[in-house]
Amino acid sequence: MWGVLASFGAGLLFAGYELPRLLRAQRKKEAVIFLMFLAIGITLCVLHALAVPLPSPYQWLEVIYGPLAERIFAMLQ
Amino acid sequence: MERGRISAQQLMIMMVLFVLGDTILVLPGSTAMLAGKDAWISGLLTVAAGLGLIWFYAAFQKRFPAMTLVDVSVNLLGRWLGGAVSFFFLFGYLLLLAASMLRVLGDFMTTHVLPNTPVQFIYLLFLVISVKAVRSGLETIARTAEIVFPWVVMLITLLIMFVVPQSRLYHIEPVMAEGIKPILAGMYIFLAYAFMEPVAFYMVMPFVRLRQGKGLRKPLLLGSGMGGLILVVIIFFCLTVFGPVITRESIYPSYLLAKKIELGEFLQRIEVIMAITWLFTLFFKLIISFYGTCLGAAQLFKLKDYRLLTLPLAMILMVLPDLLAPSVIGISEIGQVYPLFDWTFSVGLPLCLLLVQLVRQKMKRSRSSEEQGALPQKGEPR
Repeated sequence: MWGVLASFGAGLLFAGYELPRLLRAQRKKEAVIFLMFLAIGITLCVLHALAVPLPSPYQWLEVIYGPLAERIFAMLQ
Repeated sequence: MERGRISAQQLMIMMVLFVLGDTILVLPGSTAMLAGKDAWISGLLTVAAGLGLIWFYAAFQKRFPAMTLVDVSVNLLGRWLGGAVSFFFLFGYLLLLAASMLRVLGDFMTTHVLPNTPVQFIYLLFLVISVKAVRSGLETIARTAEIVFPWVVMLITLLIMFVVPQSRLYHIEPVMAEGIKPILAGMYIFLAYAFMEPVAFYMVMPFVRLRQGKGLRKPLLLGSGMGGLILVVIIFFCLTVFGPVITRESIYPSYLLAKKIELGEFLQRIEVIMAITWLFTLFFKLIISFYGTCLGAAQLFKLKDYRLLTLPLAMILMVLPDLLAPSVIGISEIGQVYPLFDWTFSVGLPLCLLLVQLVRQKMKRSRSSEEQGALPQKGEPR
């Protein structure tokens, strides 16, 4: 629960810090990209705080490179 | 974009710190796991091979001066394909590298220094200063590196000086008893961790202010050579002090080495002071890869200011380290696969880009010679 609140709080804080400057300078595109990244960040943080199982990047690496790595190690033993 | 410029000397220092990075902490163990008592030999061979790799990075950068890897790939492969390649480089490789640094740090802190602190707070504290560093820009990072560097060198020198009396050469005898294969296996991981991850410097090298006639090659080679040799010395002393078995079984042999420091009865238990060394080096590896991610993303999305992305990416970095693997063991097991990932981006990607550039140049040349009409080389096979 605290994690979720902290994630939203941090997100709001960051948006409040960066956005006014951007909007004043009419840099709308940059504001959109910033918000996109922020949304991804908040989503990840909230999901993680709620202990939702998320995929691990290392597992993808295992899937992609595992067979090749096994062959290399078979050669080196 | 980035207006700061750094000097060749600062690049060298950053390179030393980057090469030491997390490797100073984890590499002795993982190399010894594969190469056994010959890990130091595979280290020496790796430094030789790694210098070749670094030479290749410098040569690549010389071909595309004042361009980051993102610029190069967008220029050569076009907006979409180049953008996709850069996207994978930035958010697949560099961000994951930064997350791995945080994870190594968090694991180390929670197992050895602050066992009761939730790991998130360690990430948070480290990320706060990282964001501050990245927002301050490259020049500030480089100057911080200059301040930190003497301390790192001094602490490592002290560490080595104090353990020399306890090292016993019989631990590493007989040399090369198992043949060349374990040595090659050790090289596989050492080369990738120490000399391929500096591919992050493709995002830094364009901002080096070079004096007339000086290249990037010298500072890069000096820096990585020095870092690599320090690693070899540390591996050597881990092996000779503990023997291959303990070195292999422990996750942080360098920390174990620091625990061995004992000067009479009065200078003991100073391992946490020694741990400052890898806090510094980890920090630099983290901020340089984090900086690379932010800068590259800004170039990719054509933002005016890369600082904009530091805070959202820091939020992603809060979560990513936790996702990598369920435990410390999972982190060290990835050592079998991760080097190939390093290969893809440090050697594969630049080689592909060079190839594309060569093909393009040839096409351009043949086209221009066709336009000029009957030139003698027109009919020549190419």
